Amino acid sequence: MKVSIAPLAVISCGKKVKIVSIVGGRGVREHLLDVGLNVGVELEVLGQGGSGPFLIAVKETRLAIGQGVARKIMVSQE
Amino acid sequence: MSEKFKEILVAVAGQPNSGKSTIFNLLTGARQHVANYPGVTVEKKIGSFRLNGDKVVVVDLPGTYSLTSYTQEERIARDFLLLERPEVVVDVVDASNLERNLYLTFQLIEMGLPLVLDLNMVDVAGRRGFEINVKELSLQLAIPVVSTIGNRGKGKNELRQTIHSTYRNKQKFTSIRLDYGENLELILMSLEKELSQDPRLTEHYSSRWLAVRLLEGDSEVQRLVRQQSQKAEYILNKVKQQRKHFIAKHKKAPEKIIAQQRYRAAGKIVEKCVKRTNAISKTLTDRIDKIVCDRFLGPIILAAIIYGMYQLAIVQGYKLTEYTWPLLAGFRNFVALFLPSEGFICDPILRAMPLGVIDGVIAVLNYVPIFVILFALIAILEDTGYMARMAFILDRVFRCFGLHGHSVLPLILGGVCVGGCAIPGVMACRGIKDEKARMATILIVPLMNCMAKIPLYVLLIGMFFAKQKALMMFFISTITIIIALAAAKILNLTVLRKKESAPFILEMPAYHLPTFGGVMRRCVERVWLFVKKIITVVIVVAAIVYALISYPGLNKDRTVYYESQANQAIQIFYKKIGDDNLYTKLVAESQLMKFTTYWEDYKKAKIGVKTKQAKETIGQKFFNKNPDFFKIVKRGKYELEGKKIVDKDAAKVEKAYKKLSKTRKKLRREKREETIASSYLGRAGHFLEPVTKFAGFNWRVNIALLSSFAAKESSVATLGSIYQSSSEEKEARLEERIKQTEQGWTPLHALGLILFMAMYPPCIPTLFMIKLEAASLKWMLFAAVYPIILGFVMAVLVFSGGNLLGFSGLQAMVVFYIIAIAVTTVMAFIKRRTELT
Repeated sequence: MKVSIAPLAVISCGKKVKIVSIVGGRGVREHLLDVGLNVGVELEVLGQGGSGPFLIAVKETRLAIGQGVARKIMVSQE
Repeated sequence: MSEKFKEILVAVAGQPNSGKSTIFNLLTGARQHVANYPGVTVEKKIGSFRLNGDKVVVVDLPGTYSLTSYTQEERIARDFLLLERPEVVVDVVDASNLERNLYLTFQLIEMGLPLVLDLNMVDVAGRRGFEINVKELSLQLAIPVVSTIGNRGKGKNELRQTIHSTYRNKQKFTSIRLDYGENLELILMSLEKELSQDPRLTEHYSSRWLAVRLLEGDSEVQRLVRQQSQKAEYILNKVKQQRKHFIAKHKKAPEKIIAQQRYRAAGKIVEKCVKRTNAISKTLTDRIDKIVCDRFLGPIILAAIIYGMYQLAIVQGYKLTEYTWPLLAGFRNFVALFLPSEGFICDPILRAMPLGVIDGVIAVLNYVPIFVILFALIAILEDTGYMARMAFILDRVFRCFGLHGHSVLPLILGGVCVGGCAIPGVMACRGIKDEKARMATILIVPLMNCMAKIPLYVLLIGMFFAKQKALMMFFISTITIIIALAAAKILNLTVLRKKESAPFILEMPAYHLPTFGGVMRRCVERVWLFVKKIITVVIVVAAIVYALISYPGLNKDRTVYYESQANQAIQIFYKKIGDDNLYTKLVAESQLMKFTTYWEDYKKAKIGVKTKQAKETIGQKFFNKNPDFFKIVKRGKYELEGKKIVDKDAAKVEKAYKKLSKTRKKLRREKREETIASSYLGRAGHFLEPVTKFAGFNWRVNIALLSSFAAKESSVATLGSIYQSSSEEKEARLEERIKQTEQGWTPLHALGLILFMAMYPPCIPTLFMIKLEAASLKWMLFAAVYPIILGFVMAVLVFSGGNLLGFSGLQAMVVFYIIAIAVTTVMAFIKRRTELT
């Protein structure tokens, strides 16, 4: 099975992915941690943002995530 | 237990959307703001309840995801916990989101505070297929756990009792110690030892917590140690060394490992305590969001919801005011009964002044029904969770203007969908982490439609756009946001162009059905706040305005002129009825004023009376009061001892007096107008007229605008006293009074005024808030001046431009609207800096 790593920003709607790393400063990382986005966490893209924010599901939490942040979250998909 | 009853300080902490405010209300029964929107609780709320004789004081902390010092709310919450040392902390946890919520719980445990875990919304979790073993959870965390359903009031007593028993056993309170792994624990242990040797540090802070935070590299805690400890440099140096060493050895920052360990621990606990019975892949919320957050459908639904709000609140609410107005007018007349009676031309100040103020206040109170509906609707939007979706949908747009998705909350509070208040709006800007977007938001929040602007909108729309009420309201409320966006972009490109964007991360709470009680409570709360503001601020402003429009008063010549005019009219009256009239003596000299009051009272009493029976009762009352006067006011036609009598003398007096009464009213009105025109405010209004006339504002309007600087509620209030009913006979609605005086007004006048008002500078309390939030006097002054220029330019454009091109009010609005959209669209594309990665 091919595993590719890409920023969350390019993942299309309906895909389930796993966070492999978070690029970026301490501020972004801590904030993502606070809402449960940590390395190893699985998430599902519910709505692809296009030019606007993403809608994602992390366990029972639904989050809206801006473009900038989505580019900093590296995910792997199978 | 001691003999004396204690006061126990309890803090309620929890992540956003955990139902923390509901639990706070449940515990205290206090009337509090509850919302489904992240980060709404910024200020500290205090309530209390009694249990076993002790008084339990409960403080509602801001909802935070963690207790780092990342945001203002986190700092507030953390400082409270550290410095006030509450005796018990209740950690409210969303049962469906246990794993994530435990992240905060661990931090609270680490702070060494006696903790009670409140597992909230267990019903929702149950429906989603989560089965939580409360006993096991309590065992795993080694703290008491209570399950509750906050919005249905379930678990209240158990929670209260648990808080109390935790308090009583707080000396023995222990909890788990999170293991961060051998590598870290060794460092932590030596650090803890070092820290515990400084009594000044351990007095307030748990040394475990300090050690962990220091190792995580928390700059706020470094500062704290520097402040408190004499050995600070030594300790901080040591931490620095250890961190460096650790990173070199393990190729990972300690904070990453600490976070991972916390999540691992949370995961383990959830594994042990939570059983998933039936996993639902798509919840109802997801299915709704599929439609509501759709890229194309979403904005349409949003617009429809806003339009519907106007329809309900403004159009329907306006109809309600027709019923409430007589009550307010009745109140005014009731008060008037206790004041000194009026003079023939000049009223005593003790009458004129209070009535002037009351006129001002009831003019605004008239709109309370509209606010009741509006606040209820906003509360519903908040409680359902739709507000967060609004932020989501609008972020796409906001980005283009240098704003932030988080800017939505301040803008909504400020009145993006009509009826907010700039003060909480400016305060809510704290939640925006992006400094640039935060400043831009602070500056444009006052451009929103705060509730104080609405009375004027409603008044003018009612007068000039009666047929297109909802459409106009929609225009106004959308034009403000369109202009505000352009303004934000301009501010971004000019005065605020330094800092980079912060991440946009917003939790979308699950949809909830709002409870009737919850919605009503908040609605009443906000209406009450509004009424309170009127009663305090507006009374003062109205009193000052009254003085400003009444003094210095007319000069002697003019006063004498009016008196002689009045005397002349009275002489004519006597001449007409003649000396031989039976009633001449009855209305002679001082009796005339008595009769005047009687006449006015009678006319007033007859207003709105329709049934024959009621008419007879009034007749009887006035007959008893003064039978002779009664014969006059009945035009000489009355019954006496069963016989119908036609009294010619009385009829003659009535006819002559009617004329006199008319003259009197005319004189009073003229005198009043002259007094205002020569008053202090009138002079200022006149002084500005040469400039403001291009915007269509005459001096009367100038006066109203000048006075509303103190509080915008006064714009209608001032209009109310400027266009005071010249007759006391009927308390006409303000719309009618203005129409009587300003015959030449066109919809363009109204439009210019509305647009100026929309942009009008923040009221004085808001300016204070801006100074506080922006921490600079310069920004406060800027926030006061730029809207005046902006508003004036727009009003001139619409009024003078519209007149030049011969537009009707609606045409001018549509054209202006299109131009504004065009300008804003162009703004959106200017220099759209790509986001930094």
